Order: sequence, then C-alpha cells, then structure tokens
Amino acid sequence: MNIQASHSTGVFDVEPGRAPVLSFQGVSKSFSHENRSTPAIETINLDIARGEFVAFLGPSGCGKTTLLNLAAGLIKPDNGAVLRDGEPLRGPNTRVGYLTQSDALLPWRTVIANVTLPLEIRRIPRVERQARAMAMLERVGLGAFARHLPGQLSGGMRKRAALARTLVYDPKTLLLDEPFSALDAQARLAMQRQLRELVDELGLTVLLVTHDLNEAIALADRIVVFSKRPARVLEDIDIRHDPSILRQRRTSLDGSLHDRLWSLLENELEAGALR
Amino acid sequence: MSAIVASPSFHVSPSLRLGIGRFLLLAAVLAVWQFAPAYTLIDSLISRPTLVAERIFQWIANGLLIRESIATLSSVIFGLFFGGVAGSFLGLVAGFWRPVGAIVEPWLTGLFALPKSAFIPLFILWFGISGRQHVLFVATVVFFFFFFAMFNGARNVPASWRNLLALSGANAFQSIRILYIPASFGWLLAAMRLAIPHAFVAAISIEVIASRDGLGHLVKTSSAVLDATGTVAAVAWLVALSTTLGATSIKLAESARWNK
Ligand SMILES: Nc1ncnc2c1ncn2[C@@H]1O[C@H](COP(=O)(O)OP(=O)(O)OP(=O)(O)O)[C@@H](O)[C@H]1O
Ligand SMILES: [Mg+2]
Repeated sequence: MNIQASHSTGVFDVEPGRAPVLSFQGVSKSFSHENRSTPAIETINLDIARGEFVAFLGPSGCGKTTLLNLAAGLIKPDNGAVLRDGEPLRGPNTRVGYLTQSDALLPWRTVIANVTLPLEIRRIPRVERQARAMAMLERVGLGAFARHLPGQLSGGMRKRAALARTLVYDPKTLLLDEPFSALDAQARLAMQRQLRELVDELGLTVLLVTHDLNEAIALADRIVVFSKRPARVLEDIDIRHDPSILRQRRTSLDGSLHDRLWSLLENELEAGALR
Repeated sequence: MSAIVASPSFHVSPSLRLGIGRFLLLAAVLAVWQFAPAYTLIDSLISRPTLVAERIFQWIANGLLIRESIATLSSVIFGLFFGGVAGSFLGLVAGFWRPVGAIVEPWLTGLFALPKSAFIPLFILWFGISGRQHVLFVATVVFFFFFFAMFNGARNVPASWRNLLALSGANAFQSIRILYIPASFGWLLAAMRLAIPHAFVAAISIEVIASRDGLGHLVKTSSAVLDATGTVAAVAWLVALSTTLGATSIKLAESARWNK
C-alpha cells in the first residue's frame, strides 16, 4: 500500500547537520487590546524536522493560529526568533503553503483562476499554470468545477479548492489551520486520507492545528499539546509507529494515547474555566 | 371535469407591472399639468406639456438641442473620465499605503464638504470660460466620489486575502492588480451611481454661470427672457439625458461584475 511504502522510506529522519525546516526559539507574542497587552504565546521552543507531520492540539484561543502566523512570517515575534532552514525569517514565508481557517478564495475569480493565482504571482507561464492547476483540481476531485465561481461551491468544496491552491506551487511545508473542521464526517475522512497520501507522496513537512484528537492521532507523527493562553508546550509526543501497524487502524488500537491526550486537554479546559 | 374554473390566464410579470405603474404616474402628472385651470399661473410659470414637447421637437429639428447636448455631454463625460481616473488612482494609493492615507484623508474629507459651486467664480478667474474649464470643474466635483470609493475599497480588503498574496510573494503592483482593484469594484459602482448625476449638476451649474453654450446656457437664456416653455423643455431634456446616461453606464459596469 502506497501509504506505508512511503512511510517507511525514512524521509522523516533529519539528516545530521541539517537545520530544522522550522524552529521556534524562545518565541513569545502578545497582543494589545485597549491599551492592555495580553500574552498569546510564551517562550515557545519547538523544532520541526524535514518531513515531519506535527499536530498542534490545545484549547480554543490558546495561540495555535498565532504560532502558524509566526511560522508564515505574517507576524513578528516580540521575543525570540523563528528560523526557517536555520535562517531567521524576515517577512512573509513564501516557501510554505498556508491553509487558514477561512478559505480566502477570491469570489470574482473562477475556481481554476483561484488555484492559478500563486503561480501567476510567481510568473509561471500561462499554459503551464493552467495545466498544473487543473491537475491539482483533479486530485482534490474538483476537476468538473474548475469554471465555477467559489460562491457556487459547498463549504467542503471550497476547502478543497483552497487546498489545491495551497499545494499547486509545490511548497515543501504546509501550515494547516483546522482545515477540515467545517466538513461533515464523511468528507473529512476522505480529505484526511487524501492529505496523508499527498504528504507521503511529496515528502511534505506539515504543521496541522486541529481540535480533533482522532485526526491528530490518525494523521500525525508527532503531537504537541499546548496549555491554555498563553500557550506553552505541555506535551510533545512522538507517536511514530512501527510501520507494520496499519495507520488507519491506529485510532482504535491506541485508545490509551487518546485517553492520555484527552485528559491533558480536559485539565486545561477546567483550569481555564476556574479562572 | 376539473373542479377548477379555468380563468383566462392573464399573467403580467412583476417588472412589467412596475413599468406600467411608473408610466401611469407620469401620465397622471402630465395630465394634471396639461389640464390645470387656465386662470392659475401655470402657463406663465411652467408652461404646458404639449408646448414643451413641441418646443423639444422644434429644437431637435433645428439642431440646437443636439449642439448644446454635445457641449454639455462632453464636459460631463470628460470630467467623469479625468476625475474618475485621478480620484480612483489617488484613492487606491492612499488606501494601499496606509501612512499616505492617514496623511491625506482628513484633508480630502474637509475639501469634500466644501460647496464646490461656490468656487465657480474662482474657477472662472483662474481658467476662463472655455470648455476645458467646464471639464476641470466637473472632474473636481466627481474626483471625491471616486477617491473615497477606492480608498475605502482598498482599506477594506480582508487580511486573509492580503496574507494570501503576501505568502505568494506578490509585489505592490501585483497586489493592486490582482486584489485591490477587483475587490474595490463594488465601491466604484456605488461611486458611479453618485458621480454621474453630480457631474450633470456640476456641468449645468457652470454653464448657467459662465458659458456660451451647453444645456445650462440654454436654460439660462430661456429663463432670462421669461420663456417658461423653453426653460422647462431644456430642463426636461436634461433630466432625460442624465437618467439615460446614468442607467446605461451603470448597466454596462454591472455586466462586468462577478456577483450580479
Ligand atoms: N490580531 C490580534 N489582535 C489581538 N488579539 C489577538 C489577535 N490575534 C489573536 N489574538 C488573541 O490571541 C489569542 C490566541 O489567538 P489564536 O487565534 O492564536 O488562538 P487559537 O489557538 O488559534 O484558537 P482557536 O483554536 O479558537 O482557533 C486569543 O486570545 C486572541 O484573542
Ligand atoms: Mg485558530
């Protein structure tokens, strides 16, 4: 099976001396609101190795999106540094694909014109960008909807169109912010499978923010659990499994991991409620 | 046999019904105007519809109306063009580069509030009474509508869209072309709706005050000799012209829009 085949090729191993794709080094970030500054994240230290699939779990509002925005270079840390391939990040990180909580499709462009947009900006010739966008749309099952406007698609289809746009320029790193939360259970499973296949096939590094424990366990190699705001790392769990275990069955096999994560998050929620 | 009595299917579409209603209202007003008692001052003040219509045909026949319309329309159209281009461009610049916007916005808001017609004498002093000066005045008036449309349009581009372009490495020109201009289209349309009638008002005002041609000049010369028929004819023609131009240009612009 394709999934396991590439899972066992060892693309996850960091080559010695090779800098992590992304590295948060003592990063903190506060937001000021009405002259009061509230910390969103506090002294985060995290290294993301090439080819790793990392899931971020944490209570709502703890600062997960803020972390992704930092990794994307859309905001600057107050303290510490975000390194990309060992170099401090200055300005927007054009090497990542970022699928945000909102799909951000431009409503006046057709689906395919939305998908070609990153290529257009990168000055890829028209014929090539049409071909690449179409191929990516076929992959996410939207080939027949290329000429539709985003307003004519369902929420799930819009998400898939946004995913196609994110992947079309071959970023080696993906930042995914609750990409499947708006989907129904069926569509979510299909998308999860598709994502994992793509990731394995293309050898991508992924940061996935999710509220869904099962999703984190099923997809990720590593799960980072954050505290309530300001976010600190509570747990950093490597869940890479023996490749002989079917990934799809991991969820049911790993009830204990599920329980452990659940109680971690539950404690955080209670702590938050008491404040 | 069907229990339902087949009524003659006389279906009138809603838009047709609306059109008929509007026409009837116009007809009623014209009828009252036409048949109002003769001892009122109507004849000397606002004439009669038949006389007005007669005058309009007469003016069309002798070419006067066409000539004056072309003079007014050219001030309006060129004024809209130059004011629109300048206003949209500066609005875009001010909306895109926030520091620029923060500097110029309060001043332009202040200038916008000035009654522009009060400056017509100054305009004449500066630029004379040529057709070029009419265009300039119309352009000044409509400039503000387009400026604020693009300014607000650009400032209201959602962060998620801006981030999308930033992560693709878009430069300022690409962002403006791909994102800011299309995203401001609805605002521009709204500006056009306001700017077209205002352009006519501006052109007419300056023609009334200082001109040797144009429909405003026609209104003034007619009213100066207490020719009610001529005055009303000129004004009626003007209203028809500005409404037609407004409606067609909005239609044209809207047909280019994505969410109709
Ligand atoms: N631009 C901003 N201005 C002010 N405060 C902000 C801003 N962005 C985020 N915050 C605050 O920072 C905190 C963390 O926000 P963030 O969006 O990172 O949370 P999150 O973990 O992604 O939450 P969720 O799971 O609900 O998406 C929140 O309390 C939020 O109010
Ligand atoms: Mg979030």
